[in-house]
Amino acid sequence: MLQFFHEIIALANPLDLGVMAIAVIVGIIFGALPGLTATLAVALLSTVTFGLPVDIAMTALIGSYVGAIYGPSHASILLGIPGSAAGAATALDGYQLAKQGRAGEAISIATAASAMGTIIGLIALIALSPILIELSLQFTSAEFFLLALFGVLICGSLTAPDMPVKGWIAGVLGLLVASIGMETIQGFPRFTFGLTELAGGIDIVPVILGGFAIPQVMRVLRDQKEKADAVKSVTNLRPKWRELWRRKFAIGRAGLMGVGVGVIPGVGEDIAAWASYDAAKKADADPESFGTGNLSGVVASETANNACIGGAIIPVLALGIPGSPPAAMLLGALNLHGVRPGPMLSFEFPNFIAEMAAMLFWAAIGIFIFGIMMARVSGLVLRLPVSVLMPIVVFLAVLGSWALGLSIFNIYMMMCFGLVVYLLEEIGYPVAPMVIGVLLGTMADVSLRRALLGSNGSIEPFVNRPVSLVLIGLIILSLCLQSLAVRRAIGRSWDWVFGALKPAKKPS
Amino acid sequence: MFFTESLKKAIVIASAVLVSNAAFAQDFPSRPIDASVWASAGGGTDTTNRYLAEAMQKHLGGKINVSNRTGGGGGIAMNHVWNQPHDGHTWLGASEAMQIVKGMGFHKTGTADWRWYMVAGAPGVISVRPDSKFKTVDDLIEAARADPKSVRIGHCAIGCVWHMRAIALGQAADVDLNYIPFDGTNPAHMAGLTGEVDAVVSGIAEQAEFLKAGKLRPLGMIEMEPYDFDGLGVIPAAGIKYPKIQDIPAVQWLGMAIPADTPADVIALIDAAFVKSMDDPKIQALAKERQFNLYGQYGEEAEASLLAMEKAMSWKLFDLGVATISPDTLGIERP
Repeated sequence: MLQFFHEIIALANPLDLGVMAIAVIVGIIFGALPGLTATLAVALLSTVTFGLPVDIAMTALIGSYVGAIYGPSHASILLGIPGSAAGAATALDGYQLAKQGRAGEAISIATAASAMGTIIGLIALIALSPILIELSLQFTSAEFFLLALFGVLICGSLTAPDMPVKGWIAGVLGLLVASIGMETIQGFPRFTFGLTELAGGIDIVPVILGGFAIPQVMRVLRDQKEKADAVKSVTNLRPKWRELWRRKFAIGRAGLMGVGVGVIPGVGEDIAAWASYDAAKKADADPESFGTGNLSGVVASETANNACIGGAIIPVLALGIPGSPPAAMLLGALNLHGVRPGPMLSFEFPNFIAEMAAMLFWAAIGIFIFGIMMARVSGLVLRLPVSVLMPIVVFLAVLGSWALGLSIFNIYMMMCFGLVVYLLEEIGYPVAPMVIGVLLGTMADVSLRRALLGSNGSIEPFVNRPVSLVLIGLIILSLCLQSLAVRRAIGRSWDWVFGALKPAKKPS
Repeated sequence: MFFTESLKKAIVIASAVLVSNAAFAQDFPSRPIDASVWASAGGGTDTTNRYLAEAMQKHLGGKINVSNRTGGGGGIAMNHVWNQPHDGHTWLGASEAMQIVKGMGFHKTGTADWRWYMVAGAPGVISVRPDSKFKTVDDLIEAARADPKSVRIGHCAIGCVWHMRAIALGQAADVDLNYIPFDGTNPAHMAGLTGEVDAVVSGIAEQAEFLKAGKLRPLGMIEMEPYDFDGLGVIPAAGIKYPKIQDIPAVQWLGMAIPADTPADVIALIDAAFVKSMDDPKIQALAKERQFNLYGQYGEEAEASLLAMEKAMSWKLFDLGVATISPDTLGIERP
């Protein structure tokens, strides 16, 4: 903890703060523009900052990450169109508020909530990372397999719009895509059709860019006529601290949910925001007011999606697996700079966790200052016609796919993937589990077979270790929760337990 | 009149071509050199090539740009360099992985088609968790002899140089070890820490931090010579008792390559710059920091040892069923 304050002061120099300021502004712009996502911001910046020292590069990446998760709130509130999925929940109430002429109020409270969410995330990062790093020595191939499976399953059930099985199908499709290429246990080429480019497997960056950018562009261009007018008047930007203080418990709950969702591999900021919005609505005395312009809805989703960042970085540093798609890009950048997550981190980079936390702290300050400053400007930017904006997005997606491996093939890949994802989304299959499937697929596949190889074919390592048993329990639980009968049974026992407690509590 | 005009033109063109050819070697490099590293940024191959580029551009004049063209087990970078003019302006950032490229079918060219410049590499070491019951390499070998396949050895991806060193040990001691491949050396080290594998084989350079931190304990070098590790003392050589480890002459090396049919005068310039670069303080510092042995081999000398390595590794991979094409049909004889 002391280290953390030390690092905050160490970062307070013109160079680091300057880089942070630029990165936060770039992040906010990326987040605010529909189609540009946090993943894209971190991906593009990691290629730009490659030549810089690791701490400057990380400052830039963290700044853009935090900025780009916060940025969508501007578009959500002013335009009613979320800048990216992470801000979609904010649009429900934020845009209603803006139409009532309270855009400034909504933006200021969203900004304050985002900054606070980031702080909750960084506290979790400091508190939980060392514990998980200690625990990481309990993670062998068997646990990595189960963790990957859990990530794909839970992402599938949380993101599917109508039925969880569609999410799982999308997840399995992602796993199939991940199996393309030379597998690393026996060196057998799978689904390569004799193409050299496919032998090395599918690169993750084109998949992310294709999956998230291209379908978004197609949808925005298709629905152009439906585009609502941007709200022009932004007044009264001073944060209302009393409104925030009234919601201190709601902020705490949203923050913890954000961190929790962040830690789970693969599930990211968008799900954190939705889950938290949903919880806030259920817990509120007046659930009907949600969706008609309730500040609580804005606070819930904006706190959670920013708290998710700290949570998503925890498994990156402890286990080397990403907690969300932008965190996957962050992990890639760490690898590029030779930072090895896990038990060796504290030896090779003793202050790394404190340093990351301090960067998050300055990023939180950054979105608070620049967020409010840019509120009026972003209204102008957002009114750029989509026919200008969307080609830029496609250009960046093409550039981003090409830049990492300098391979034209990746551009074709990105385009194909984007087209397939667009079609899938049109018939109700979510993209997130598919991308998560690609992200975690190799890990699931190779870990499973490696665990079996090590035990000479016995399934013992999956059932006689504490961590793997816990993970199996979680998987079974998450599957059971999809069944209506189980949920009803849990609801009944919940009522029964609390029904028994309530009368006993009253006299005291 | 017409005839003389066109004759004049022809002469001008011909002399221009001649001049440009003659001026070729003197002008080399006439544009920035593009070095394509087959491995991703940040690893040993990449770092070595970036240091080498800095050192060599001092002696060659001009600029050397290093980029990473990853994928296809090195085939993508090799294909790119091979398809450029063979004029010395396009280099391949290479490593020992290039010696299995032909056997695995990643690229049509093999060791004989390139001219190799070997900068440095690290010797292989086998290590265990500090609380492991194995105190020496012999302990481990005897345990495997008593119960075949019970001793799990972790190493980098299948066919990589440390996989080859691990096989070399198992084969030389004539025991059945359980070889567990990981995606890279670092995950293999992690598996060594968690106890998922009983021992890890990797380069002393990559393992250095783990050894210094006391997270791994070295059993022995899978080499013929012991290694004096700063602060840990001398790590004994397994090759003294099991000299047959030399049967698989796979060693780690990092460096670069150009097509072998590059013009001779350009080769002479690159050779000279390479020799001078090996004394460059930055290269020396890299070797010290990363615990590399400096090789400084190039040309015929490098080719002889790499051809032997290509034969040994290609056939081993074919025998293991990893490579599906018989190296015979590719012109790689059985060693």
